[in-house]
This record gives sequence, structure tokens and C-alpha cells, in this order.
Amino acid sequence: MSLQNKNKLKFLKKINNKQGLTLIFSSILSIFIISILNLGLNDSQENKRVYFEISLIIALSVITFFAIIQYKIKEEKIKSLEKSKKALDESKKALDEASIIDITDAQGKITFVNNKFVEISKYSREELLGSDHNLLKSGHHTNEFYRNMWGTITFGKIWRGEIKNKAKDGTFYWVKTTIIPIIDENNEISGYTSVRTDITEQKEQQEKLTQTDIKKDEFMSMITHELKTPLSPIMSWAGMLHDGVLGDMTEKQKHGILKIQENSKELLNLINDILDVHKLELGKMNFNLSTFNIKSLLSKIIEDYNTDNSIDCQFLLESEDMMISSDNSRVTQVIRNFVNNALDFLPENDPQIIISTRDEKDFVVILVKDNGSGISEENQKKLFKKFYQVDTSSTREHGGTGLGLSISMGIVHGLKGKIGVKSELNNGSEFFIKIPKNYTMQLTNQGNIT
Amino acid sequence: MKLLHIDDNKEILEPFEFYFEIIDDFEYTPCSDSKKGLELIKSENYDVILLDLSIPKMSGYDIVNTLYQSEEMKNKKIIIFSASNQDENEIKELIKKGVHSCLQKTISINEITEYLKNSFGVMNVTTK
Repeated sequence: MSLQNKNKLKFLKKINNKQGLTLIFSSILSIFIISILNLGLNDSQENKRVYFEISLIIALSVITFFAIIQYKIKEEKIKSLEKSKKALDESKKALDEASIIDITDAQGKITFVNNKFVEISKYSREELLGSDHNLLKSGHHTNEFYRNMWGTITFGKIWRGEIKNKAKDGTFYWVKTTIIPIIDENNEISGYTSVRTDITEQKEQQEKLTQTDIKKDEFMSMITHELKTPLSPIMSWAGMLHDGVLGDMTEKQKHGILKIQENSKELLNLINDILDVHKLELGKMNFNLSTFNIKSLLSKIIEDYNTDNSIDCQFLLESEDMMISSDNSRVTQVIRNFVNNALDFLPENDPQIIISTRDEKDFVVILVKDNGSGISEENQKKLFKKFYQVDTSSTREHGGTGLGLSISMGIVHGLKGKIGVKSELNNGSEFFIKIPKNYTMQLTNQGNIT
Repeated sequence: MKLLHIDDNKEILEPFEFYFEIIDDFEYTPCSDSKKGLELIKSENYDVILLDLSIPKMSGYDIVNTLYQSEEMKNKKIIIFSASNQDENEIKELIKKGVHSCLQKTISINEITEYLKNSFGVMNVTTK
């Protein structure tokens, strides 16, 4: 009903609501006029008759006026109902065109099916009517699934879900289903209306994607296994040669072996990075939790860098002893990634990296600050994107795949934390992570990270 | 420490053989045939068994399952040493069946011996 019509009906009703009162008032008024005219005035009989007639006409006019209003209200109501019925018919038609609809009795016997239902089930209407809904069972769902469904609808509640059904010709189809119980005047369930949408194509696409993911997963497992297998003896032999287990070597030979070891490690890191990216993409990264002292962990990282003679940098640690429950090796991986990136951009004079921690209630913040060349604001936004590198020119001085920070971000998010950077060109950078002190507690108390 | 190492790839076993020929504290037995390896596990008394997972015909999983089903995992210290990427569930399942731990290939021989000494101490020392 349009707004104009609504207002009209409202106005008429308003007048009509006062109809009884106005009728009484107009009748009293008529009698009052007659009485006044009759009392005190010695009008002729003729005049009295005229006054009476005038009063009668007034009263009749008022009655007629309200009768007309009543008629108008009825007319508007009929118009309104007709419009509603038309709109309802249109909706039904649209629903009928778009959805697969059926109605069953309280026992699940089909009492109504629309054309789309007949079409998708490939049964005739005659075959369907009176049949049990079990006719369409595909065998895909467990008994528990159907128990849950019946448990919901027999309780008078609406059930929503996805069902795999079997058509008459043996083919399967998926439907997104809403089952609505029909409640009768005695407040009892007299049947069920089901509205379904065909989602077979969507499900098939989903299945294909799952299959692709499985194949991709298998391929990644195979390729990393095959790459690591020859790398294992290469590293074993190089290690033994370097350690002098197989005899003494000249300095030049030692240098050559060292390069083999360094490059083997690089290759291994790359394989592990690719595997990590793959795990993060599939959401399959696992975390091994343990309780450890964050200060000890950072000291160990710094100690490792300090024992590497090829690294020329002053490391400083500013941290208090603090026990946290998280993934020791993954936190190490992230911090080492920060340090490795920082090492690439340090100045020649007085290169310095400060690793510090900050206690923030349920979280610990770990910061890696350097006095390197810094990163522009524009580049900071892209840093954590996969394969992004600040310098991608053919003359670039720094290697790497651009996966490190993207993996670090995935790990930190997996540990229910945050990652970020503060930097200014020519003024160093500060990378930080904020992770829960107790990962397990954080899992049951999500959303506390500010 | 009596150590049995089962891996079908002889390239993996060779550096270990060289290493343990020189290093004391370990009596090392390489085995590239997993069926023979299973027999050795059953018949001999090894302190530690390094076991690869991807082996043709009889995999590391098959060996663990066979020993588990015949309730022979008791007192066997099996360490998985593989380049395969086992997920958490696979590792849990292996540990549940009695496997001691899982090590990833490319870990150096030095690190392995350190790990063994730290985990089990020096047992049955054989000086060469």
C-alpha cells in the first residue's frame, strides 16, 4: 500500500473512531436546537415543523456522512488487501521460480511439491506425493545428521543446512535447505515447509578445489622431500670435512667447504620457507608449545650471531627474565628473520642491532632495532607481502626470496599476536612482534590484542 | 651405544659410516633393506634405531606398525630420521605407538650424536 493510501485510510479511520461520539453529539444538538426553538418562542405550528425538519436533516446528514466514511474505509481496505494479495502472489511466483519447495505432513510424507522439486528430483509429481521424504536419501549423511535435523524441527524450530540428495536416476544433487515447521491453531506441528536452493555446482567446485589442495599438498611434500634428501649427504660430508673428521685440509680447502656449507644452509632455508608458505596458505602450520625464558632465547640468538665471524655488528640485549608459553623455534625464526634483514642494511661505521623486550600485561613485545638505512613509508606498507623486496633491481645487493617477513607475519598471527615496523629513511628501523605470554590462554580468550 | 640406521638411500648412510668408523662411543650398523632392518630390530638388542619413513616395499610406518601390533615397541628406542614433512597428527600417532622422537633430515651428524648422548647418555661404549 502506498504512503498516500495509508494516510488516507488513517485519516478516514480517525474520523470514523469519533463517529459514535459525533452521532450522539449531533443528535443531542438537534434536540437542543428544537427545544430552544420551541421554548420561549411562540412560533406557529408550521415553524415548529420546519425546525423539526431542519434538525432531522442535520442528524440525517451527520449519519449519512459517517456511512459514506465507513464505506470508503471498507473500499480502501479491500483495495489494500487486493494489493497485498497481488504482492503475495508475485512473491510466491518468484519463490517458486527460484527455489525447490515442498510441504510434508508431521510424519514427513510429502503433500506438496513445486515444479522445481519435480525437475531436480527427476521423480513425477504423482510418485512424490504421499511418499516419505527418505525417498531422496543419498546415504552421504550420517544418522546423527538426520537425528539433529529432526530434533530441531520437531521441537518447532527452523533447521538450516546443506543436504546431498539422490535423484530418481541415481545422480546426486546438493541443496541448501531451510525447513520451517507449520504450527496449527492448537499450537501443534501439522507439517513442514522446506525451501531449498540447488548448490550442486558450488559443491562440485568446492570438491575440485579440495582435490587441488590435496594434490598441491602431496606435490609440496614430495618436492621438499626430494630436495632435502640429496642435501642431507651434501651437508653431512661438508660437515665432516670442515670438522677435520676425514683428515686435515689446507686453508683454501676449508674455505671452499665453508662456502658449500653456507650455500647448503641457504638452500635448506629456501626449501623450508617454501614449505612454510605452503603450510600457511593451507592453514596447516603447527605450533609446538613450551614454556621458556624469553631473555634466554634472545641471548642464545645473539650468541649465535656473535660466534659467526663473517658478521660485523654490535648486538645489545635489553630484556628482563620473563617466562612465556609459546612456540620457541617459531619465535626464534621470526626474530632471526628480523635480524637477518637488519644485517643486510647496516651502515659500515658502527653497525648496531638492539634486541629488547617490553612487558605489556598478558603480552610480551619483542623489538629488533637497527641503525641501518631505514625504509620509506611507502615501502613499509608492502614489506609483509609475499615475495616483496625493497630492492628488486638487477643490481640489487641483497639476496633472498622476499618470503621471510610474509612467513613471520603468518607465524605471529598463528601465535595470536601482532607484527609491525617503525622506520624512517636514513634513520634505522624497528621491527616488533607482540605475542601472548600464554598462547593456550589466548586461544580461549581471543580478541584481547590491542 | 649400539645404533641401527635404516634408510634405503645409501648416499645417506655412507657419511654416517665414515663418521662412526672414526668416532668412539657408537657401534653403528647401517641397513638399506627395511625388511632386513625389521629382523635386526627383533633379533638384536640396539640401544637406538634411526629410521627413515619413505622406504620402498616396507616403509618406516610399516615397521612401526608391525612392531606396535606385535607389542614389540617396548624397550625399543626408535627415532624417526626423515626428510618427509610429517604433520602434527602423524607425529602424535607415531609417538603414541611408542616412537621416541622425530628428527628432520639435513640435521648434521654431530647434532644427532649430541642429541643421542643428551637423550640416552652414553651406553655400551665401544672404543675403537
